Amino acid sequence: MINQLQNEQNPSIEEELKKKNVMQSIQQLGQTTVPSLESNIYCLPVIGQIEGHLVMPPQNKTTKYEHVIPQIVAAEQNPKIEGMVIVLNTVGGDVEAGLAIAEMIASMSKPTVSIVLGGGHSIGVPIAVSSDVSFIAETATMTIHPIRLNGLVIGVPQTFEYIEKMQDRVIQFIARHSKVDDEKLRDLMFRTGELARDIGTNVVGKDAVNMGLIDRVGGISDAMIELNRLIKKNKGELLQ
Amino acid sequence: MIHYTPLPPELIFYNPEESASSSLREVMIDGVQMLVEINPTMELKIVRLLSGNPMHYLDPRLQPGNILQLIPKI
Repeated sequence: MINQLQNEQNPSIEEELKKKNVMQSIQQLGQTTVPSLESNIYCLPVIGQIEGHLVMPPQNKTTKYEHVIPQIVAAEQNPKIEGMVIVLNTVGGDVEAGLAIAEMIASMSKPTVSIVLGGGHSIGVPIAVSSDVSFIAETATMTIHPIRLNGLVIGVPQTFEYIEKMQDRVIQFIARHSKVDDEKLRDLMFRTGELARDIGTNVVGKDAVNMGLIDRVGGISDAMIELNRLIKKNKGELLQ
Repeated sequence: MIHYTPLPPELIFYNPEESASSSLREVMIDGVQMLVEINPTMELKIVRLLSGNPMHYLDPRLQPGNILQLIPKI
């Protein structure tokens, strides 16, 4: 009775309690069904290091290829998903994993749009250019620099040839999926005097667009508008 | 393996505490894959969502830091 009275005087407390109860019952997930909030767009965040064949120490934030690759397969196969947006803020990582993800995105039949926010460095570059249309935030940067071998390096001429070959894989992928040509990319990659502790270039927002690496400067709304346009086009609703 | 990144390798491969990550687990709860930290009391604290559905990130129950209780189903 007293409780009721208090509750009547203080409806906000009662509401709060109700909310708490709901939260508690929800916390026992597995017994309640989560209302499904469907989206026709699949969001693929590529953040931190791209983790491939080697598990990285715990201080690294990573995007793992064993997560991403099945996600792309699922997005491609799921009829409810009509397009994919790739959000990049990555410092690079494993070359094989990065190229695998980039190839998967490039070979998707559904429309894909990528957006570089913050940074899309090193192996993030092929991922950024692999989509149908790529965007870069005005303040975002992309570091283009040579690849290098880690661990034991056998000091023979063949090692150089091997690095050259690995480097060509990255360069050719970027050249094939963007408007930058092979030569220009090599020039950017081996330029001196631009980076503090490496050779190469750091391209910021607009510069990346001017050199043809990225299609447009823009934010999330530009990316979404473009993706929705591509989805409509893909469905045949938009005749041009 | 070739690691292609502007970060120095000593920063990436330096391992401060081998056991630091042992309490982190990847779990799938109600169709949402997430990275959780398991407390000694068997409570799960959400660290990060690994979902591709952008709507999952708006779900108030799935916000990072939220605690989920493991209740055995009988």
